[in-house]
Amino acid sequence: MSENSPRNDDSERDLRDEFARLRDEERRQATPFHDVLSKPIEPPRPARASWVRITAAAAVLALIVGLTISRARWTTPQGPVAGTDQAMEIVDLGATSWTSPTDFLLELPSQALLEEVPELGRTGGVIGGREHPDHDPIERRSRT
Amino acid sequence: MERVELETELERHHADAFGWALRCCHGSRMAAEDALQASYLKVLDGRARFEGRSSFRTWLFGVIRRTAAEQHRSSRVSRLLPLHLLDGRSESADSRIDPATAIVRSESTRRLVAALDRLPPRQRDLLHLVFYQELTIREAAEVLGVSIGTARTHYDRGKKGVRKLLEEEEQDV
Repeated sequence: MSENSPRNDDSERDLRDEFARLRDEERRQATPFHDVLSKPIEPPRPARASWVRITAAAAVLALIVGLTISRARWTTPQGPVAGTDQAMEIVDLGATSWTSPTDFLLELPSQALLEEVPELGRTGGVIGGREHPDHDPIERRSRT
Repeated sequence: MERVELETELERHHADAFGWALRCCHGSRMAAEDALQASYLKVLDGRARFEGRSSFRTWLFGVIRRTAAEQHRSSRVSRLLPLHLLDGRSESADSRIDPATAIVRSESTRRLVAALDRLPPRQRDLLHLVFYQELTIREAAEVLGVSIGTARTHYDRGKKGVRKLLEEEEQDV
């Protein structure tokens, strides 16, 4: 079978015959060429009619926008009205804080070592791989 | 091409173009005549220009297809927004049904047209171009603006589909 042409074998004969009958019928009833060409064309719409159309479209648009806005007002909860007894709540956003519930996943077992720098001579201080005598319970016991 | 030459060419292909326009306008004779007239005027006014990249017939079918699609779209919009009522115009040709001008069909062609109407548009158009207009698949692909591979797929599926639908109709009868 060629890439460009359809099969032309007996398997398509039935369809070809059906379409040929359709073609003959339609050709017999086709409107003549000059009748089609000289058919009256729909006259252009007068300018006034265009204005009527534009006005009508604008009115419909305004109605849709108005309905949308009024509907949004009905559904939005109203806040306290100024000048009434209702107190207005002021929220200081700077004073608020928020901690993520998954922050603990970022904490390490030795987190304290990373955050605190050990000082010499104070509790927990280390000299030459040994604890300071003042803080070593064995040393303290032998001295006493 | 000169206007006279163009007119001669259009007249030569008119019978085929009428059949194709009828298919593009879902069988509505009035819509088909409107689409044909608009297409012919486009060609004669130079709004659609034949460049000679394909045969004149293939190119003309492409113009008719696009024009019919434009008219169909505008008629759908006017059906959705019946603004024609405001200025007293009649409805578009697509929605006009005139039994007096409808194409008279025999029983067998009526069944074929009914089966074609149930196929997806691409398959229907492919079958029409290949079997009715006797174009090659490559030419049909050019008219529809699709690749030859896509055209072949639609052609094969369309053939199977229309055969199945015709068999179903026969069983119903």
